[in-house]
Amino acid sequence: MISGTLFLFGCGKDEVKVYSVPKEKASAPQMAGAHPEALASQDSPPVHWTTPPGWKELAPTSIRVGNLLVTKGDKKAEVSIIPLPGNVGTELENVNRWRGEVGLGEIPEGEISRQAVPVGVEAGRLYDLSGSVTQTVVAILERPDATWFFKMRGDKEVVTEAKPAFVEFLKSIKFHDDDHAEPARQTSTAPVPVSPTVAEAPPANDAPGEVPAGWKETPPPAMVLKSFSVGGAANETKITVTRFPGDVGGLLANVNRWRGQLSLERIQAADLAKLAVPIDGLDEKATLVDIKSADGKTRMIVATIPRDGQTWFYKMMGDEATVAREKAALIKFVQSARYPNE
Amino acid sequence: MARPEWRALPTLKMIKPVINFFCSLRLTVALLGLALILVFIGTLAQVKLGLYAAQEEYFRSLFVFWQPNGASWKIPIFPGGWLLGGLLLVNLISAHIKRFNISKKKIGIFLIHGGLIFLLLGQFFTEVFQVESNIRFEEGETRNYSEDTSRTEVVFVDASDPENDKVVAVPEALLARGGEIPLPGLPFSIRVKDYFPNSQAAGPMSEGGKKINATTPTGEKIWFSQMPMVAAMDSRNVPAVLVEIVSDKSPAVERIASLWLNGPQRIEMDGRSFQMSLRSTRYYTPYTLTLLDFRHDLYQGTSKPKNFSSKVHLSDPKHGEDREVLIRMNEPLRHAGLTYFQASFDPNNDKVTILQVVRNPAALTPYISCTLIGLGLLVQFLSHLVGFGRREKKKATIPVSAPVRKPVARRTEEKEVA
Repeated sequence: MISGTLFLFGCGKDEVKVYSVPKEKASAPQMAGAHPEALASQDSPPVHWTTPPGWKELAPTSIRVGNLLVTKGDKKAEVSIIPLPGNVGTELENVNRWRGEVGLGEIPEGEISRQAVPVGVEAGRLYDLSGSVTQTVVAILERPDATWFFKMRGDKEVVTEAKPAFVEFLKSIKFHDDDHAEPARQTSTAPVPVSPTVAEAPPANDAPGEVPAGWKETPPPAMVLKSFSVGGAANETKITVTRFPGDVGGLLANVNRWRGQLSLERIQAADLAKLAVPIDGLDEKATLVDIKSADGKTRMIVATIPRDGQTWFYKMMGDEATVAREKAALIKFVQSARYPNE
Repeated sequence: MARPEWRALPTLKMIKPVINFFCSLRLTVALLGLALILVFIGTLAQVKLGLYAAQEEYFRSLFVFWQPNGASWKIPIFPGGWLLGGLLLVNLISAHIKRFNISKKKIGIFLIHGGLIFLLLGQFFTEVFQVESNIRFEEGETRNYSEDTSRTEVVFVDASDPENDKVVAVPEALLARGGEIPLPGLPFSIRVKDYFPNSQAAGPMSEGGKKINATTPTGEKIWFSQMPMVAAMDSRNVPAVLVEIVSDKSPAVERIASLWLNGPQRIEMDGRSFQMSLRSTRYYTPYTLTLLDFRHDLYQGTSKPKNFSSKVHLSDPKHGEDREVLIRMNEPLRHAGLTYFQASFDPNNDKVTILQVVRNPAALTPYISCTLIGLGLLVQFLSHLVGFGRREKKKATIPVSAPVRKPVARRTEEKEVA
């Protein structure tokens, strides 16, 4: 049955080994078929979407969790969904790189054109970069686990025509943690690779505050301690509790990151005092930031609580009316929080 | 047999202080004391370094080193486990040679010390030769290999044969050394251009450390940045390597292999197709295990685990074995030099078991050592008991008129002691 198989346990650790093994059955995690690139699809993807009519689904690749093709005659455009953990560069660097891809020159930060776009139930930023022959439309969504890039790039004629469908495609995005599905299962014997940042994620059993009535607890995504949702499908608002070591870049950097998520301009340190207000009953380091998107539809409130060399974030983001209604409940939730060592 | 009169030999006389040092009981006490301290500080170090790094630095080393932050040099500050164990072994053997005569009376002592020597040697061989790995499989799945999650390898697979895959595996130790690595039986070799022991998927504009990039066979540009190595038990280093694949007949291509990537990449060289991937190091066995049933019982009304068990089917045509085995906590499967322990489970899938696979050629040494020591203690105590009994019997037979030791003599003895 296993002719030619060598018994290789533990010998010659630092040498190149050559051996022959029987082919694995299809249930095996790797090397199962003639099209290895298609193997990435064996794990259920971390996102779902509705494919617009006429778009062709391609097999996911090692880096693309979503891979689609739009064609019109002999012209085409590729649509990709790529999550990247960690720092992915500044907005200006990314925009100028995309501009370079379509043959446009670099621009200063003040000339960046962006607009808010719904990505599922969350708010992303959309960039449209049109060259003479090719065009790229990119949506960025910053999530706790990674920065997600939704990109359509190809012949200008195809991209321009498919842009409305692309926006609808973005609205149809649904993450696994949205629908309470089990996380994608690692099929390899090896444990799920854990990045150092994830390794520092806090334990998931901390429950800092008294949960307000109407908030529904949801499975927390990676690096989130607790997550809740409030409101219906049309006006769903999410609340997350996270904790990180240190000051996580400082309040100004975080406020500008949150403003970026709502496609708002960055602010300077002088403006921070007006935006970050203290929270009643907590020490002077605890601050509340309340910001709204330019179109007034999306609102975000974040309470930042530095404590014992760590920073706790209580973030509520979603439909403006729902956030306005739940603001008092969020503040009460934050005020009722009890921390380790208290 | 008479002992050699080493005092009479001039050469041996010169090294007398050295011999005395290694035979000294004080050395034994000092080494045991240092070993206690080493175990204490090595255990504390696990908090910062994690289990594996602390084992390497404190116990699998000759010295424990101290390195100032940012310095390229380091100095030894404490003896490591191997040095202390080695010295204890030398001390025990040399003291034994010097002090003990081979005689019937000392046979118990010989057995005890022989057991101790065997124990120390056995632990040394365990440290050097023991290999641990895991099998993670779901009910219905069959495995003929286990994976070592602390090591990785880049593999090139020729899948053109319909029955078997030909695998060429390059261990990470070779990748870390860099340079060109010939691949026997393949029409190409690889040049390691960069190797990150820990990495993170990145974008072209990502900030942070050094980066590598390459294009996948499907035309995507992928980027990885170097990350500091991690040592905590709940974290794992995720390597990435940039290699150039070179051949006489095809143009060279650059590829990245990493644990971050889901599946193998196709490599086309010299008109043939291969699959390349970086994966946990695999140890293949000439037999298979199929998971039939995994049970994870809880104490009633609680979430406390009561029992884990995996029913597996062992199929080993070479040894003519084809049977079902129940692997439970403390009831491992031992087969062909490997021991399969019930180790863990997947909290997200109650049909998945994780077995720990241990290969330890010196696994029997603790049992043999303990038997020798126990036997030696028994012989020693019994010989003393028999001797004591004989003396008491002899006392009882001494006539009443026998002379009694004079009090003066006792006082003299006491004076000498004082």
